[in-house]
Amino acid sequence: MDKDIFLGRVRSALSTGSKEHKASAPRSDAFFRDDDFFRDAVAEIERRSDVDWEQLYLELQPTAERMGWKVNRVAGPEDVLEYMESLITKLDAKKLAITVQDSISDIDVQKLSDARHVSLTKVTKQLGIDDQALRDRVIEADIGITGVEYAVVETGTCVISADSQTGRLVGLTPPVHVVLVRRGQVLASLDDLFAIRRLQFVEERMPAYTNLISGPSRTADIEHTLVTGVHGPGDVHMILME
Amino acid sequence: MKATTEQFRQKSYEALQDVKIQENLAGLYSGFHNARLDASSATYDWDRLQEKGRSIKAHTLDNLDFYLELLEKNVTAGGGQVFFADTAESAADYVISLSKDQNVKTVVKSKSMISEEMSLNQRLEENGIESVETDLGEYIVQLAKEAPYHIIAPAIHKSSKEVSNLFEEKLGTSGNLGIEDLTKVAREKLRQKFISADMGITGGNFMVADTGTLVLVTNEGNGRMCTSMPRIHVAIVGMEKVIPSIGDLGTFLRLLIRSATGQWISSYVTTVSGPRGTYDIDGPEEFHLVIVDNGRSKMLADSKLREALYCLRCGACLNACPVYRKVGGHSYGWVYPGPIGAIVSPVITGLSKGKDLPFASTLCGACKEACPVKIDIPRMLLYLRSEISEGGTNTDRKAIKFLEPLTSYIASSILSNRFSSTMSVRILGILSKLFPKKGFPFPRGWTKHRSPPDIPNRNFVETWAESLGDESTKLGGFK
Repeated sequence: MDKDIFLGRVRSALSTGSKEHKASAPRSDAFFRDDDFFRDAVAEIERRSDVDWEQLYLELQPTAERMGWKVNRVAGPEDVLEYMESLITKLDAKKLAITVQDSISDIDVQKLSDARHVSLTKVTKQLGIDDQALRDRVIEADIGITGVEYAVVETGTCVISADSQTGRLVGLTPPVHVVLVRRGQVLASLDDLFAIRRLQFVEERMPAYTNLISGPSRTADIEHTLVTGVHGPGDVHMILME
Repeated sequence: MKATTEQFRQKSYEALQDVKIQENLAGLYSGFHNARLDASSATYDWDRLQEKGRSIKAHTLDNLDFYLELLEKNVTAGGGQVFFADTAESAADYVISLSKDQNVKTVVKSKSMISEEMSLNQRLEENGIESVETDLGEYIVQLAKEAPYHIIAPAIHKSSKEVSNLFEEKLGTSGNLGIEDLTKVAREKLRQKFISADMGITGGNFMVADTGTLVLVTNEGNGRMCTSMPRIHVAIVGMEKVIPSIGDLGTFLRLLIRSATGQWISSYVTTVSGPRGTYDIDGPEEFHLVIVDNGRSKMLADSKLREALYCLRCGACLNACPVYRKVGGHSYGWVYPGPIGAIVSPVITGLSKGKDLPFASTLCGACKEACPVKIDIPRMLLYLRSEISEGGTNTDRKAIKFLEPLTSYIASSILSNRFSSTMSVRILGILSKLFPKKGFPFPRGWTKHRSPPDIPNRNFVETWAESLGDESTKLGGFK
């Protein structure tokens, strides 16, 4: 249906339902303030997550665990590899998939996979294979490893967006998902995240696709009984790096 | 979906006789309802959050044209395509013609109530396109060729044994699978569908106007699959789901999720502002947003019903409702069951056909209390009741119109006089002993499923006077 006819119907319904209807009357509270307001607010949010990273880690751990993450706090990249190695042993994993996000580029998973003789798929367009083959390799992986854009204390959430470094499937199709969180990536609340998004939108750099991930895939559709790992990963690990 | 709202009485009767359904419905209260109470009381200043959500909804609907236009502008700027559909039928037509143009063979669907309004699965199948529900509960009801039983738990009326038998019959699995194994079967079967599908269809919990963003709230991950794997993503959303700003999203996520399942947040919240970017590794090449009216403007145009459009579709009023928890989801005869469905379904599909639905309530107010945006459901049910009886859609209603005032007149005349009220209780007490407990002959409609109460020999005033003895004279002279 034509947009103008559709909106015309809405307008006529509005004027029937309330005589005082004024067309186009946006609300004048916080989120319709000018862009400078958001620039200042976001600068403050980012400052806090840099300065207070230790406190934010302390608060994130319990909320993330409540949502079903297995949380581990480690000192540096070597500890991450150690953790990964024990996970590979425990799960008898044969195939890994990893994103090429900048935030985790210093973790040398390649070295680990060579040493342990497990295959590693780096999900990037430069891989030189077509999308279908890349997709199949991610689907077959036993463990998917990604960084995050942000983590949120309030809800124990990892925020992961799709872009040129981050495929959508690495944290989705493998049965196990490991996320690596860095200092300065932790936000206090969902509202902080959405304030950042608002500014990103204005500056034309808001990601087109994002998932807020809070624990494993779950369902209670049969007899109210909780089962994890329906379509997404049933086993999720969050590593907080100092 | 073809409305069968006129069969409410018959379907309710059948549900009440079904012991298994009664057991499964009872679980809603101990499960979702109590989880909601825990989550909302753990939320800082829940009351204020409700007020905030409610006032944003009121504002948005009062300016719906403005926000829909803003939404359309921003989605289009993000590379998405927006289609406005005035009816469920035209929304389905759009999806089908798009599928044909793009040579779509298989569609994977994430849970969407509005696609039930459109009978979308049926329409797609008629056009030779395979359509697969991927939410576990929806997958089960699709295999069983049924409609969803509950807004957020579509297969809650089925026991694991029934699901196991269903899978055995339709998918050839071995019998007697437990719940975990059944889930595994669904994961494997549906994984293949995700891989081969050309189009993913989702609903939408919110549409954010100021950033042009669709928001999906899910737990299983099928919503992520539908928005990641197929080359086309189509989202179909009722026009009332628009919210002004991404800054409002936190408020609504808290309200919706904590009221729906009692989770602090769902496993996944997916935000989509367009198709894959030029440099993205994967994702759909096209994003279509279908915005549907389908009778919603009727509620918009009636100031007494506009509030029904605030609904977040959390299902809390269903779980709280003593009627829903007895008669179940299928009795309501259309897409939306329970207290909110008793308003929305008859208004959209025709009030004279669904005239029983607004009466399917005790007006106890549990729905209003459970509602995250405090929708005054009892008020609207009363309004629809008056519409129905004033309208006189059939002769039965006219008869009640005459009988009701007469009954009230007689009752109030007797009860307002102390002597006659005392006597009437005595007479009823004696009469009640003469008639059988079951099958009291009059009035038949009332006594068919109810036993008459025990009527004591003495009324309250007498008992009170006796217990006080002489004191009673001091307290106003009851004797």
